[in-house]
Amino acid sequence: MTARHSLIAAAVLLAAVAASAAESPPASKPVDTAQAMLDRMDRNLDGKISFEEYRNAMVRRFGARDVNDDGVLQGDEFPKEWLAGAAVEGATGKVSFEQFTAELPLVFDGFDADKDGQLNAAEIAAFAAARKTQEESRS
Amino acid sequence: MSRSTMLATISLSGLLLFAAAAAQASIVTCESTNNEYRSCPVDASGGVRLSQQLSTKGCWENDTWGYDRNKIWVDRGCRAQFQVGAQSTNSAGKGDALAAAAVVGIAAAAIIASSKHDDHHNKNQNKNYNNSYNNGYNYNYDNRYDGRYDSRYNDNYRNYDNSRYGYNGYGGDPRRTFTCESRNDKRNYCGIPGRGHVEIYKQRSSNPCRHGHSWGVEGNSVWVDDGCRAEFAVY
Repeated sequence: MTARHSLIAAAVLLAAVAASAAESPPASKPVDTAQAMLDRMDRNLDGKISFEEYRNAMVRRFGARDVNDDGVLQGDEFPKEWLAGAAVEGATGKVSFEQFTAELPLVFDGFDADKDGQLNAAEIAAFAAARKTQEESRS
Repeated sequence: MSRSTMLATISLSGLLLFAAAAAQASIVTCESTNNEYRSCPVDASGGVRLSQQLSTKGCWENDTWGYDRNKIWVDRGCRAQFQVGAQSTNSAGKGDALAAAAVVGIAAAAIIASSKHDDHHNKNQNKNYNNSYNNGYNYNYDNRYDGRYDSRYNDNYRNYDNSRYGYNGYGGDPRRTFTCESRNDKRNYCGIPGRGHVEIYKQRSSNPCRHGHSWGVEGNSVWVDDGCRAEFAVY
């Protein structure tokens, strides 16, 4: 991932686990974002996240934000928190469905260290940790 | 700004090259509209890979999409583009694919950097983007169901009522989930708590749950059969 600093990749990363932060009471921090990812994405309950599981969760997340259904998140739809730490919040304020989905395999493969097409527990933990680091760097 | 424009130009060239290369492998769009089964004839003997999901409704291999030798099929609202034939496996050409992916990633970043000066980029994208998503049933959740199903299915379903975060919750989590189980491989029916699009959230059986074969939706109920046991999501 170090070679890739795409803003959308950052957004995708944050989007993957953002719900745990949003759905907790404001005062409490998510305690286990890796578990939150499994809870939301692990459809076959094997303790791992396949790309298909990841893709479906992320596409659904995009769709939920895209209130006017035009395939672009902008204005109130634009999830500023997804860009936390990217230092460009509000710079453009939009992301298209194509841009978003194009980043999904990049982000996924970036954390699939053993390249088996699945994120195992250690890889999910790394994903969640990277996301946490990014959120904490939010300015 | 000239630097970012240059980067965008270079990256877009790479993107176009990548698009041209991808076009040589056949890309087929196959779409389940109105949640109905649809088959798309192709020569799938060389394999098929889902390359781009277009619907927010789930695309799950061997449940809501699949293929055999002469067709791709989709069901239950899955809409997607499929790469047919060459490079359909993950191992072959992985290095090339990753290189191309990196180019796309850079291109996407560059486009974002310049898009505020370039709004027309986005205007015609996504004609096919899940147009049915807003057609009513996410808005019309009926609270009258609350009491009825709370008492009947108390142990069986979880409530994801996070509407305080706006439309359909913060980010695409189900409104409700409920469990339905086929015991002894027999058919069983379970009432759907509320209205919305239903799909499998967690498959809990080793027996496969495949739409139209071992599970389905009839009216306000889900049926399961052949040992399918799953937690279903209502979106």
